[in-house]
Amino acid sequence: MSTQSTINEFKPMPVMFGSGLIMLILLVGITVFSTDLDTIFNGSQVFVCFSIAIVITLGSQWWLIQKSKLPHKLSTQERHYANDEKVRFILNEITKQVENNLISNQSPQIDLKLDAIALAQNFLDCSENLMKELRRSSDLSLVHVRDSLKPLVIVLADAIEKYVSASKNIDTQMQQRLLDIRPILKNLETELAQVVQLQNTSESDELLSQIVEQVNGIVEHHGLIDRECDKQLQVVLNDTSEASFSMIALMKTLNETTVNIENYVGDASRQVQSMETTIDDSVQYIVKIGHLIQEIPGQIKADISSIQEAGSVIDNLNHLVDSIKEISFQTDILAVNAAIQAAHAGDAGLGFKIVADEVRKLAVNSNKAAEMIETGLETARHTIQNGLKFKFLDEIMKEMNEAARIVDLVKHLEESNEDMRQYYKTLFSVVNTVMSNSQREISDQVADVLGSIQYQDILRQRIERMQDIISKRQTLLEQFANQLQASNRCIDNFEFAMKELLRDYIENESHHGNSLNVNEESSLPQFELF
Amino acid sequence: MAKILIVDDEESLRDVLTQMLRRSGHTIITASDGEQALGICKTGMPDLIITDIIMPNKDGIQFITEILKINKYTPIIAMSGGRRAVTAEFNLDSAELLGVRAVLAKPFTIEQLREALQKAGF
Repeated sequence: MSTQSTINEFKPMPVMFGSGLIMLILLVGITVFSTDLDTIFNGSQVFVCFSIAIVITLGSQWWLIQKSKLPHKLSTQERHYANDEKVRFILNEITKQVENNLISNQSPQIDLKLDAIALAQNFLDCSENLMKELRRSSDLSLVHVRDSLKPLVIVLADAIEKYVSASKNIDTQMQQRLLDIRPILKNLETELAQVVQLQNTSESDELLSQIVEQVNGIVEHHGLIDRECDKQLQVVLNDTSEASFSMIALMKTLNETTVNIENYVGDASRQVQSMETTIDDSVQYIVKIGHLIQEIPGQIKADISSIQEAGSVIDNLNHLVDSIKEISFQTDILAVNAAIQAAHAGDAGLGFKIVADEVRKLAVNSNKAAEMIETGLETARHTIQNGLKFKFLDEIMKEMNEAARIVDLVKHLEESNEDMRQYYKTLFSVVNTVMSNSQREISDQVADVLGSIQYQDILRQRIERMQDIISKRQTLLEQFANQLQASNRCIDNFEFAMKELLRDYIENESHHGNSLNVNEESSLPQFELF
Repeated sequence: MAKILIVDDEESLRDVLTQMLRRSGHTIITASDGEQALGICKTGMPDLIITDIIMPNKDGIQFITEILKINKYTPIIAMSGGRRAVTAEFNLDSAELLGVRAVLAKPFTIEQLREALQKAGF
């Protein structure tokens, strides 16, 4: 159909003008060069030149006319065919045109819809995963993020569902309506075929040519109506496929955004977990050290008291040693006295003198022993004193080392804590910003999508008007078929009725703000050219 | 040629970057934390911002968020050191998600700096 329309729009006026110009140029050329051609043609040059010019002009005219010729196949072919063949052929054309309509209306929308559905599913899956991820974390900031995302997802899922079901609806309706035409045309074909068989006289030839003329006219307008409807359907298809594309683009963007956020939050929660483990370990170690530190003073105290006990034992022993020394001193004196008494006793006291001497020796020995014990005790005390000093220092050094390590650990812990806080702060702020940016974009685009769904309503109305005109045409054709069957000769009205129908439809469409009619000045002159 | 703002709490790094970029003929302004930088931007938005993330008084992430709210096409390059490599990575990822043109992990080489400048359109 489109090739026909481009050829039909080829205007004859410029063609005429062009060929006239060529002729003029040739004449001018001939007069200018006529003197040169004198010698060659001997006087008949004018005739020769003119004939050449005429041949060229006619030739170009013929060629241009051939190009601008309307492929009004029906009328040319009609003249070549026998009577019954003529009519059958006409009806074949009608059915073919209708079938073309049907074929061209099998919308490529179906593929787009499948894409849209697949992407919608993917988006819903992705946002579900994101929800799961966010649900795992009990941090308040992430709860807030999750809560703000959920309603958006629900709104968008609803919008997508509505759109998909609306376009499915329109598709089925359109196909159904156009399918309804087929049986009526088949009917018409059989009726006409029967009529043709019945009429075999020359009288019927006249009637038949009348019928053929009328049918021609009807078919022409039928074709025009079809073309109008087709244009409308094209507009509908374009608009719905544009809406589908923008839906797909929207969902792709949403997909990307949610996948990005999912990855980011997933990474962040893993890192936070590892930080928490490190902090836990540090804390445990610090607690252990703390216990140890608490125990140390106790231990030291215990050590000190045992040393003090030893000291007091030594002191007691010292007392004992003093007593021993006292005893041995007194024993010595006693021995001296005994010796003196023994001397006074003379020979009788010799035995006693030996005993006295032995006792003296004993006293001296015990004194020595006592002194040795004293020295030993003194040494022991010195040792304890010195040892005490060193032992204390050791403990203190140990304590100080532990304390230094703890300070380090605590500082490290503080840093990790600070990291964690910074972490959560950054996480919250980034996710919030990205979400609020997407929210704005999403709500803008959701508004667009809802707008285009509203547009479906307008489309539906347009299609209903198309259905109306198509059913009116069906009625006309049915009437025509009935009239033929009754061999009624008054069939002039039909062409006129079809013409009226087309005019009404186009006017009606322009009242409904049809974008098609707004671009062209008026559709009527278009078919008046033929 | 262009007005570049450098934000970092380390003075030595600010000086190094200033010298390098001045050689290419750009005008350089510096700031030591987010507050100061925001004040500078409010009086006159620079053509390029190079900023650190971990800073006192309003960190890099907050600063970047606010700048992008004012004009979402401002070219920004984000740098980060961090006490651990993991923190730096996280901070740079966050910056990318917010919409900076390029990121640099400290310490970086001159080549890496040139690449980042190219990505930001300089």
